[in-house]
Amino acid sequence: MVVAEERAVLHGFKGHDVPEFDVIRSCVHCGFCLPVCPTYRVTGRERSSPRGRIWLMKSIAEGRLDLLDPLFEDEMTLCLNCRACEAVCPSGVRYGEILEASRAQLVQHRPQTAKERLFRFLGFQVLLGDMRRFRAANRLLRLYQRSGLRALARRSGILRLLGMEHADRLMPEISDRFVVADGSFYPALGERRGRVALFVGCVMGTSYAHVHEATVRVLTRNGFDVALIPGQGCCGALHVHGGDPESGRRQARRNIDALGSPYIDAVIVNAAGCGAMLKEYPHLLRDDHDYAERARAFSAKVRDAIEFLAERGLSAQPGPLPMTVTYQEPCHLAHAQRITRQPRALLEAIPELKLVEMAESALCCGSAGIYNLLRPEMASTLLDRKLNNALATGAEAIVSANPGCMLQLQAGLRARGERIPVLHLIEVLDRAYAAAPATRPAEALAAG
Amino acid sequence: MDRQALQERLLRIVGPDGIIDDPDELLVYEYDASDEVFAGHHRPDITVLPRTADQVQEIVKLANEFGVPVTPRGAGTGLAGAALAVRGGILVVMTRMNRVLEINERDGYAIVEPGVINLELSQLTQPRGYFFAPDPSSQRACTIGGNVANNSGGPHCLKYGVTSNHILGLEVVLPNGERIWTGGPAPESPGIDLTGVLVGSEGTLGIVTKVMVRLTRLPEAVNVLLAAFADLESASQATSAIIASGILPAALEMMDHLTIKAVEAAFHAGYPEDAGAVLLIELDGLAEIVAESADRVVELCRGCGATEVRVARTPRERELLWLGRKSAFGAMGRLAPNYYLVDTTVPRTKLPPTMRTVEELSREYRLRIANVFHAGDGNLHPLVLFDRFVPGEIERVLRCTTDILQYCVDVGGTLSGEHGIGLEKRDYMTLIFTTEDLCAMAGLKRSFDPRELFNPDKVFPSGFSCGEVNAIRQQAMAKRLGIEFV
Amino acid sequence: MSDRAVLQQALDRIATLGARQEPAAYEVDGLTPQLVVAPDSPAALQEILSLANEAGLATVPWGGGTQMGLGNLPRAFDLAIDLRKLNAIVQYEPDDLTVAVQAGCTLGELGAKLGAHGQMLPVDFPTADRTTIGGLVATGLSGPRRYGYGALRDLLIGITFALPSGQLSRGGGMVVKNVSGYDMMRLHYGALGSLGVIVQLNFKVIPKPRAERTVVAAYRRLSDAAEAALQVRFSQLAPTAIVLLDALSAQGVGLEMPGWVVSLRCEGPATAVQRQADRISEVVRPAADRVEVLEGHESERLWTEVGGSIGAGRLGRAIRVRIGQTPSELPRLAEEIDRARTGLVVELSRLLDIGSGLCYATLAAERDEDLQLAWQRLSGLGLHATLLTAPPGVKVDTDVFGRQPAGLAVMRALKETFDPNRILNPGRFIGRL
Repeated sequence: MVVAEERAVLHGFKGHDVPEFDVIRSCVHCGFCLPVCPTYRVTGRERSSPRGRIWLMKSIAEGRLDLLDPLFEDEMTLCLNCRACEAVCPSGVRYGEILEASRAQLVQHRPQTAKERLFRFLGFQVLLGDMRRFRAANRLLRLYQRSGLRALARRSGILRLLGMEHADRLMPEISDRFVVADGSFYPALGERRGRVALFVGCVMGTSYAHVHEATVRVLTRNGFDVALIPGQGCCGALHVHGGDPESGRRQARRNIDALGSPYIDAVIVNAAGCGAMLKEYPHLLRDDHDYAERARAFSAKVRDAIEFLAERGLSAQPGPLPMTVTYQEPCHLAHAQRITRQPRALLEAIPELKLVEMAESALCCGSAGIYNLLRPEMASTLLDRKLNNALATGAEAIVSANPGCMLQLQAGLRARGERIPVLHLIEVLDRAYAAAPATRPAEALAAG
Repeated sequence: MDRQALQERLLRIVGPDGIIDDPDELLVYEYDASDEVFAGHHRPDITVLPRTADQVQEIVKLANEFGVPVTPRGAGTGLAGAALAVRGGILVVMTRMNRVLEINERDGYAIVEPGVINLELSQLTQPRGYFFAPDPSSQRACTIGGNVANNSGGPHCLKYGVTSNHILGLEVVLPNGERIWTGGPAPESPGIDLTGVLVGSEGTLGIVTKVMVRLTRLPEAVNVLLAAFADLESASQATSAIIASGILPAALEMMDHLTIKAVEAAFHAGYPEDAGAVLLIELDGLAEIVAESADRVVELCRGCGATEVRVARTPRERELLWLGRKSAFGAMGRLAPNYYLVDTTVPRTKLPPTMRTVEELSREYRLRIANVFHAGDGNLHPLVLFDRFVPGEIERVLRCTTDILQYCVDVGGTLSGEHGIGLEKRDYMTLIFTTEDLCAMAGLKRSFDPRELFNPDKVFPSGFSCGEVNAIRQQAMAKRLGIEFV
Repeated sequence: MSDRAVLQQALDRIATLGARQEPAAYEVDGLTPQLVVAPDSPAALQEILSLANEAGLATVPWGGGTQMGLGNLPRAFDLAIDLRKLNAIVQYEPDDLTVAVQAGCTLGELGAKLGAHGQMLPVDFPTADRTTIGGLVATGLSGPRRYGYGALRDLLIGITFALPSGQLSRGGGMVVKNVSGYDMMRLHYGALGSLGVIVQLNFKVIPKPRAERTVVAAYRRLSDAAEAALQVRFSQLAPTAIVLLDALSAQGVGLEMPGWVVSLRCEGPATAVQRQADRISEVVRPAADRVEVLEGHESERLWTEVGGSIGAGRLGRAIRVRIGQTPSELPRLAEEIDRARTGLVVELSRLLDIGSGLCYATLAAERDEDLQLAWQRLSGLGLHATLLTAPPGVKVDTDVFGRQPAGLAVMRALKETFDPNRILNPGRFIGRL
């Protein structure tokens, strides 16, 4: 005879950022998430599936598995947090949330090595804690790349010695110019349709400064004032995903302070990962009396650039761009933000551009923030799979919308000796505008 | 059982990547998609993930040698606990055997490994003008091998028939370790129809290693209609009216208010949220016939009080409507942390009174029951929602579902229309079968698996043994012969 | 008591359990039984079986006797159980489209009852007034309409059968979708009554189409005819049966057309049938010598005749072989069959069920040796071959079910379980089970 159980005591999880048990048990283990999970597709093992991971969390909560079981940590870090599972989950299990909480639990309760602590301190506090320091570090990197030091390091084998060979390969080419949130203001061209703030972020402002510039051009061309409001910082995603929600919350408060102005219509993000994070501030700050409400108001205004343009429609007609492209969906755009139709609609709005869909376009490329540094083996398996699918389309360029994916794809293409470029979707749009006759009156064009 | 020796031998067969023996990792093989309250947790001793039929054969031979139970498993999306290793032993997970080996367009069949995902087979064959007709709601995740084991249904089975009607042949490893092909691309293979017997046997008679499936030609035209009604009763009447009119829709599905709400929250499929019930009706075939039938169906629905009838105009609209329907079970997690699936089939004409009874029982037991089902063939799915942490609720769920089952059996229905008996429903088997019926089935089982190592404790009621039946028969015989038995 | 006395005692008791019939009318491959009894209730049948089982009587369940050509030579034949008194239509629910019928009910009786409610079972046999439902299921015979509606196997939703032990067991039920327990229906379908005696069968029935037409097209060359038939099969058109007949076969079903004839059946609502027939005609016309469309009764009559030329009834000095092959390979098979009779004085007619993948070859000759040689050659063709009917002399030293299938060991185990004393149709089924 089955009898009602006592409400389970949360045995294994304790302290702050405990994965919510009601979220864990909203999983009815139907298995719909299995085929969309990149790690499950590669390993075929239940433990590497969202359903399996949730069951492990549940087993910890019910006291049947130890939080510090190496199996658990291994799975929590093997997960890419791509959230493809969330997009197909009929029960609406907030997987990302309990995964991040589980990671925070591990950071809290697991003894950390000195190296890990140093890595976390340098990465999360020093580098990402302040954008001025981040840019200074980037200047050093640029020096390393351009001065011949890199060539020397690569030849000498010292990188291999330091175990940094892989990291070096993934390192972005640092741009000559940075885009800085310095209070610059770019007025709308033509009829003004609104005012937006651009979220600058970290790597987008340094390695992808040209994408920011393109974003400003496309937005102003479509009738929006664009402001680069000072005081903003890192989105905090790397902290939260890495099990350090507290530092994430610091970044969140700072961004809300800086960008929470009632005078802007939208906060525009062109990095899918940052956008997803910004939209999740209400959950991150749910227990913060002062910020909970402000976070909700703030997040309601956050829009990915693609989402925003599709929602408001293009007021200027792009020019022809005769090329064949394929689209790689950033997980945090497609799954976390459920933005899948809009990018295609924008691409289809460009005359003469041909979009060829790749197989498994929504399967993670293996970048996943700093995942490719932490789990290089799985990351490169997924990258290979992604590149095979992308190259099979015969496209002349791979279009994406997130710096992590773009870095990953570029590194992979370089290693294969492929010359095809990886472009941000807004860059493609910018090029199409460059091809449009400037004198032609802007035509209203509905998109999305 | 010499576990160590078994592990070592298995390791030699499948390699280190194909064996899981860490008790902690085995935790994730103690469940399937059935509710744990009723199915329980069953951890296998060892899980293996073979990649070839040869490996499966070796595993089975080894299980025989060691006398340990073997439980086959696909994606673990079953709702009756059939893929749980109730007596421990070896769990054979077939998901890595997922190659499509042949697609024969000219004769319309394919040979696939059992780990191929149902929907992926249809997606693969669609550009060639074919699909695999059985489409259980879990088709995005479930495997063809699992479909074979459960004789899976799905919405389109109304017109196209269940899995059994689409399996031409099987390569199977029998419990004695022999590997054979049954059936083939031409019908009427001589001898006993082993293919037909194996389909739906829930992994108790062997492990399928290749499946030859019939592919169905894509219809020339498809039309999906959504009809909204004030209540389940009028929707049920519309169902009867459509079937009685001689129109055979490809699918005829019903969803009640509770389900509509859950599904809308999940996918914004565009169901009218204020409706008491909706019918999702798909018509397919030759263009002219579909158009004609669609007009007639709209008429019939209106005649039964439909408040709104909508036609999906674009493939995307169609897809959304189906996505909502097919995700309905999973969406129950939005309504309650647990649900118990009842899977009875009743004669179609008994649908309206059955729905009334389900409603009454819902009130009587103070349990919310969501209804989403294959109305066209009378296959109900009352989903009894509960929270296992609310004291007393589990008992009420048990009593309520037993009452529903008993009612359905009383009006001529059966226990399970498509999800199988497995572990969860085996103790209800005596509601519809006599000991003699079950004995014949047990005879079938023993003919394949005399040592009862294959997926033990499934399908048959717990504690069932044919020994008792023999005693009963002897007594009957004695009576006829006028002998007194002591 | 001697064995013989035991046997006689059992026969005497059995004789009281049903109406006695004249044994001469129950001949199987030259053997006649000592006793024929026709029980009028399942209980009587159970008792007969249990007595026969104890005494080890070689027993043949008997329906209409119209398909008795099928089966290996019986090892012995003591008792025939005539099931025609078990002929009730037990339960018919027109609105549910289900029917439960006893095994001895004829196809004709059931058809009339269903027809009155605009419903049907989609099988056609000219012997419908004698052929029993139980016999059809036991022999596993279905016509070319299986392409559109599925074989009888696919419409079976429930079964009741009696075992030699006297036990009465059921499987399935009265609903159209059911996965409760094993599929006992398929266990018995085509098992030639070797695992139990079928007592009752439950079917899902089909709404009778309101109209039907048959497109008939004649071709000089087999390749053209086959191409036309396969083209329709490959298209999105939905005929319910597609057959290809050689000239002799066509003549046999009343079609006076030379060369090869393709017949395609369209069923459904009147206007839809008309349009479908038109579209099919267009597809098959280009290489055809002649295209005709048969309507209503004329169409129906044709298919009943076709049913007659695929059955397993006794044919006198002829054999009929059923060979399974994929539809696209059937035309080549037809040619191979023609070549196989080289050197034998045999008359050959061929009917190809292009929809399903079966070929029926009927060969007539004066001498058993010629027929035997023909069967030997044909039994190696295609994917599988069954000698549906033949004079007893031809059946000596061969298995009419052709090559031994891989699953024969399991089939033996099943026989051992359900009929351990081997009283049911001993020797007649595959592998001489």
